[in-house]
Amino acid sequence: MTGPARLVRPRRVAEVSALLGGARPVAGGTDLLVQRRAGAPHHSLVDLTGLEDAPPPLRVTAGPSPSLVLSAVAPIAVVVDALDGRFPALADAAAFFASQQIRNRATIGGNLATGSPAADTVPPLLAAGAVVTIRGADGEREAPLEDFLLGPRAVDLRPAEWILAVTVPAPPAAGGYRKVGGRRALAISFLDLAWQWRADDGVLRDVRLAMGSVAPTVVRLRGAEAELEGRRVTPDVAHAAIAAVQADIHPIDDLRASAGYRRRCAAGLLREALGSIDARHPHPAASHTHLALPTTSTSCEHPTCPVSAGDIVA
Amino acid sequence: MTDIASTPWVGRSQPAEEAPEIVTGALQYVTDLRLPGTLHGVVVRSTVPHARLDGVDVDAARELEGVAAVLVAADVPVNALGPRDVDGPVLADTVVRQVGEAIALVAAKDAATAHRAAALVRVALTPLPVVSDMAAALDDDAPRLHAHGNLSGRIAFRSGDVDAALAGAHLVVHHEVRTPGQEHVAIETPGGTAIWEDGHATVWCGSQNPGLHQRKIARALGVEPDHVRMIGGPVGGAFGARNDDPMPVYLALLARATGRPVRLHTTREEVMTAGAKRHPFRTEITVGFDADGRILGSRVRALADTGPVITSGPNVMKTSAEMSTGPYAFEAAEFDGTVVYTNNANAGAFRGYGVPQVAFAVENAMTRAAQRLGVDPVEIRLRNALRGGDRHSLYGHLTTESLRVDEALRIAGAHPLWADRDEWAAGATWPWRRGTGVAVAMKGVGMGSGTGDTARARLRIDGTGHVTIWAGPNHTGQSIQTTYRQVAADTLGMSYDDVSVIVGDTAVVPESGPTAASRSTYAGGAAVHAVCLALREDCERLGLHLDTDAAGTGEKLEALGRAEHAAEFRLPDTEHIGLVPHADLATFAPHRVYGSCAQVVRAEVNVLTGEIRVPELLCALDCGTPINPGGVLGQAEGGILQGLGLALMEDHVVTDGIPRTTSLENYLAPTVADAPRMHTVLVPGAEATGPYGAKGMSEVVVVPTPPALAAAVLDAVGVLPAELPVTPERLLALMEEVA
Amino acid sequence: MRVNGQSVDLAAAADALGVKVDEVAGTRLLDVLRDGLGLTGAKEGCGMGECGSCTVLVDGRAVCSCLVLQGQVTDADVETVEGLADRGGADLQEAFVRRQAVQCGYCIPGVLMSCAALLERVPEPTDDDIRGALDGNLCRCTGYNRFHDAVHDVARGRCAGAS
Repeated sequence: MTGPARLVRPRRVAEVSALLGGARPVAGGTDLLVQRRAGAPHHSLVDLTGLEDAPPPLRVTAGPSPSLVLSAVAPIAVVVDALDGRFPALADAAAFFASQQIRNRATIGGNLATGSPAADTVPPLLAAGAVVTIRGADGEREAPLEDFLLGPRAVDLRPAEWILAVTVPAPPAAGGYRKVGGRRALAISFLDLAWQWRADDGVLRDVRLAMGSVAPTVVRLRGAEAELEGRRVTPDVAHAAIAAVQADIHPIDDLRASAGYRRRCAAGLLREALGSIDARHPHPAASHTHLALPTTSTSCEHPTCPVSAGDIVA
Repeated sequence: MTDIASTPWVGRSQPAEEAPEIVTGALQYVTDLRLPGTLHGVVVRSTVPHARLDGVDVDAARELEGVAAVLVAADVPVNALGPRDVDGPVLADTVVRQVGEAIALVAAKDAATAHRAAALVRVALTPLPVVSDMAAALDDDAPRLHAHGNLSGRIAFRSGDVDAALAGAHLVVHHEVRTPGQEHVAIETPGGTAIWEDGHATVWCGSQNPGLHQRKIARALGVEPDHVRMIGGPVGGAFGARNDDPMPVYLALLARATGRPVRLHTTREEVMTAGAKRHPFRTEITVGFDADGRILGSRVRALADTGPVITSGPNVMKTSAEMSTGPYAFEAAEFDGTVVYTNNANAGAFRGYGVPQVAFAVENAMTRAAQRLGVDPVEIRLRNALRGGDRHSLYGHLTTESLRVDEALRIAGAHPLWADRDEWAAGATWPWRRGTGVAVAMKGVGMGSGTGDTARARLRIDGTGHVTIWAGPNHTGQSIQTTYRQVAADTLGMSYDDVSVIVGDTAVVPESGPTAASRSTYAGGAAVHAVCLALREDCERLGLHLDTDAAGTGEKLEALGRAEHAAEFRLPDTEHIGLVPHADLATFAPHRVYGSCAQVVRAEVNVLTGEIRVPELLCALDCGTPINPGGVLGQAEGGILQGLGLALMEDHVVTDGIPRTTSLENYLAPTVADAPRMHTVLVPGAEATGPYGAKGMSEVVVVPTPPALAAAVLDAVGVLPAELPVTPERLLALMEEVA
Repeated sequence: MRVNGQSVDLAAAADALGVKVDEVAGTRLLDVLRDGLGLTGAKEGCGMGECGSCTVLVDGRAVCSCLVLQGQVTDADVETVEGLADRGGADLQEAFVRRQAVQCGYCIPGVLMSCAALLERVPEPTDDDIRGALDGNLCRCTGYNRFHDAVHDVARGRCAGAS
């Protein structure tokens, strides 16, 4: 229990940095106020929700390959509404992000600034190659999201800096997000995976995978990406990609899950994502990795597989 | 007992009487109460699991401006929460035995000052070794938490020759199951307000047993119980948590020490840390079956962790013992249950009271036997079902005719959720697999034979013909007073609107025992029925007509000094106590009346991640006459979801005496997204001793859900979980073991 | 800040809270409502956004008032359960009573505000819509099924009334 905070509410973007000396920025407050409750140091707060000249929730740039510029200070629910299907992986992540009340307050800026490896909006943004627009006393600078994330609860924000916007190249249609948590809403991820790629006649291009809660920061799965890039997803290719994930991640034990589970589940999530690829082509379920199903049947259960599922009781 | 042909109110779904006030926000819960000049209270708690308490320095805290009182053990007139040493002190005096144990109480002009003062309390501690493993608590070298050691209670009983039965069995199933500590997560955290005036305390604080809390307060304050008025609601949920809660005592102590109103509202973190939990159990079971799946004998050994003080420990194990034979009839049974003290979370009453733990062992054995013997899981349970009027398999006492385990199972077996399970399973899409499971359970209604369990009601009719009834047990969310009004209206032949019911206030409600043991509708309803009958019979003797001239009747009765009546209902003991020695009847407390419940759970399992989704569930509920059917269904649905929480995610984790799940961020209870569509079918039946044929139901609904879920997992992926909750991690590990 | 359509007297609220006027901005909205304005409909169940019993609407969106500071909503419209009937939510309240969707009731003010926000945005919500809108409101009594029934009733009633 803490007493009242000291709160100022600037109206102009240009005013914020000058107020941040010794103070912390707050927008949705859904992380910061929880930390205060847990006894975090008593900072003065600069509220970013009243900025009249803040960027709109979404701006789509002109040109042949448009980018999406997402407000970092608007509620996630507002940003997702504005996206209207343009960024399905982020929409999926938002759907499983905390709760409706939190989505209505929490911002992408806050989710990035906490530097949590379990921040649910980060994997889709990282997979999409997001660039963070950071505002400071001397104006704006940009940082690739991957460089921005330094470690657990550590990000590349210097004194008096705050996050104004996040820009991503318009993602390809093939992409998604999957989260495993302790329940189906209001759960901190055990781990989560975002993916995107283009499939040209079954050949994967521009494969980008990002996983949360398996390393000090959300990480790109570069080893797995390399195994998949420019290839068709044959059982051997899938197997190699799933195996490569193990070198891409460095999970730890915590209250939510063990490192061992996270490793197995990381493999499972990638396998599930690859299983979503057009089923005209061989798919990973046909191969028996170390995650072989506990069944005496060797039949394949993929819905479009010509081999029908057998008796499922071992 | 039904003696009126038509029952316009009983059997009708009647919205809770306080619901209109709830939906407008007007209802003032005990923690909403704001009296002028109220001080704010805070509890100073132990941060270590076990230590000698060398001293508590409160000087700096007392000197802080705005602080009205800082109380330590020496300031409590009688520093005991109960008559026995093992009930524990109100405030720690020589030792602390749990993280979160109360050490001091602070009252100050506002919350911020109270917290500042609490931070100034200096506690000198010498750490002691911690008892953290229930299995090691009775070891010779284990640190002793009480003078006599760490054995909190033991209950053992045997009927028949279990060794011979197992030796002659076609199939013997043996396994150990583990069930976790479960937190009630009543959404209102404990708290309330107390005042002290003219040597009398009045306490507004949630309570499932206002009379017990009145006596606890009186003991601690060293005053007579009639100097304490306990008002136990409105409260935001209970589920057992308002049975063992010391909060009313803290409030009364601070009010007396300051002479001013004191308000206290604990944080969620405090409740998670210090509040009683469902007892963690390890239960080992051996069951022998013949080739047809008939049970020949069973042996159950259970170990429970009650934490540092006794609270409900041995009583919980008593219920476990009685239900260790499940809802089944067979010849040879043995139970041996032990309750130990540890420095882990204190455990107490929680909906189901020792039954979910042993039922998980029993029902898993039935599920396994059905699989091994190739018998349908519903059929194997039907072959063994205890029927109304049968003798209980452990104690040999007689059950009543209303028990309908078999019919509950038949309804479950005929329901599309069970009947169409193969078709449903075939619709699974990779990497999800589908399975369907069934389980059944029964639980006694009331405290059991030999306990003298009694509910009481008082009634008064006024000159306008309005009837007011003061009755118990108290309302803690089930709107029991709505049920009482329905019973009263039909017994008196009056309208529901012409009857008021008041519960939960010791100043006016006669002692009626706890809102517990599935007894409120059955016992409280029967007491209301009895007091209404007394009025009605009086009217009949006097030639007065309540139904057609209530006002005239009321006026006349007032003039005659006969406007008030009182009655009680004593729960009937079982008619034949079977093998239980008469002198030990209360020790085993076998029940006469039981409710039962069968459930079918549909589960989807992700074979790559171990995640489980439960989209749909059936509950066939044997509760006798439903007095308020909509209320019964609501209770069933809420109870089932608590059972599903226990099955899938709820786990109060304590390591080396340090609680790890200390908030709702890391202790997970089911959200709306986790809740299946629940179908509840009420099994036709009536209990002859209950009001209008009703019996209790709100605990038994929790019990079948975890084993039915486990059976559904077996059906889906071929492994039978033995440890709750079945987290994705545990299930994936199990699947890999088998693979 | 307007609460249920009324401008708030911050000085009076500060007085009731026992803080200085300029400290109200840094006080949790939940405390301002309950202790400053005496609106105890919104409840505190966890203080960290994990239970939703403090849910109110800020400019029509459901938020946890334990995670909002009053100074963040100075130009906003705040709606609490006490104002629900006046903004056309009486049918929702009646549906919860009629469907026996209320047990202990402590979570209900928050649940109703989440439902009100949902019905405003999605007049005929699906079960998935309801799950999405109520996923931040813990209820320990009801099992949630009746919330679905009540919301569907209201949606049907409003559509029938509109046509």
